[in-house]
Amino acid sequence: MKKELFAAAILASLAALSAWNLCHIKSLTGEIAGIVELSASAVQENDWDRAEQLAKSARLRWQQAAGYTNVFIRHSELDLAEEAFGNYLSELYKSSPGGAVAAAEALIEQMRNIYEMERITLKSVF
Amino acid sequence: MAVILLRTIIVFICLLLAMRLMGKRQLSELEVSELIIAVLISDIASLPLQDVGIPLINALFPILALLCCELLISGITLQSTRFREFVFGQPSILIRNGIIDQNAMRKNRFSPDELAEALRANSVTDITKVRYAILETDGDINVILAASAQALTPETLARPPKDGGMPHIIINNGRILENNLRLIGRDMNWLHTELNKRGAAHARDVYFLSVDDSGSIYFATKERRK
Repeated sequence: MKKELFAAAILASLAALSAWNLCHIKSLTGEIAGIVELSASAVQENDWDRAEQLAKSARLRWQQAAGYTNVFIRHSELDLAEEAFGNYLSELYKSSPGGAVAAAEALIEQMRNIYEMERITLKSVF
Repeated sequence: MAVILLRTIIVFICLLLAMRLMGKRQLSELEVSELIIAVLISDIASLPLQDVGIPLINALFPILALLCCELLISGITLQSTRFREFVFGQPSILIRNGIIDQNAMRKNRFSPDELAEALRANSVTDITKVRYAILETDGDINVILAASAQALTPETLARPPKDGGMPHIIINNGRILENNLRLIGRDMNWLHTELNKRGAAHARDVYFLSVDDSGSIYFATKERRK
């Protein structure tokens, strides 16, 4: 019976770890998407310096979480996120408002995708 | 991770039901849940090895979950016979008193060829001599012969043989296993005497020496390397 209780406890901790992971990824991607949204608003206000500063801080926050993301998120998704950051920053350097807003939207979409992949939905499970 | 956990449990349950529906003959010596675990774990474990883009945790997580499922299932089956019957099924009697139970054969999707093969594997050529042929839950077929067809044993002849009991290895490739020597209640003096009787000066000249519970000794000297 001890073994079965141990197995049930492990299964419960796996479920708890999954729930924690879901909350953590939601908060991380939400935080980054929020900063990128602010940066995109700065672009629309023609405040390029602030937009760049915000974009860089969003990227820094993403890179600071590398220890977590590399362990829990598919590396192909991480590559796409890194590429989206690169595209957005290069549009900011070019100071092209249309391109920058589109790249910011793509980056926000990528953050949402990462969260959606982890979220329990009929689509993600089946 | 939550998605992986849910998917793992769903796949496990689906495979369990599928294997159960496929019948016992698919198993061959593994219980249903053990077979599923063996198949799934080997496949899951290979994924991050083949693709470094998949985090290792994507494999470790479902493996751990599957092991827990297996432990839980085996634990519950020990407690509940109903659950055991549901998961593993029941043994089926394919031959009873020399007569093939065609209904059981159909139910288990067993053909006469396969039954004959299983009987040959049990060294049985005459079905009429079979008292019972039982298809076990792990897919194995056990054959019980009619009393008249069973092999003669010393017991049936009322001549019980001398039972030597378990042999204990005392010298293994020149090395004395002192624990085993103590276990049989002997000492080094006894061992040297026995070696001298057999013409061996040292234990290092002996390849193998064992003593069974009745005191019988098996002795083999070391051969020279050719």
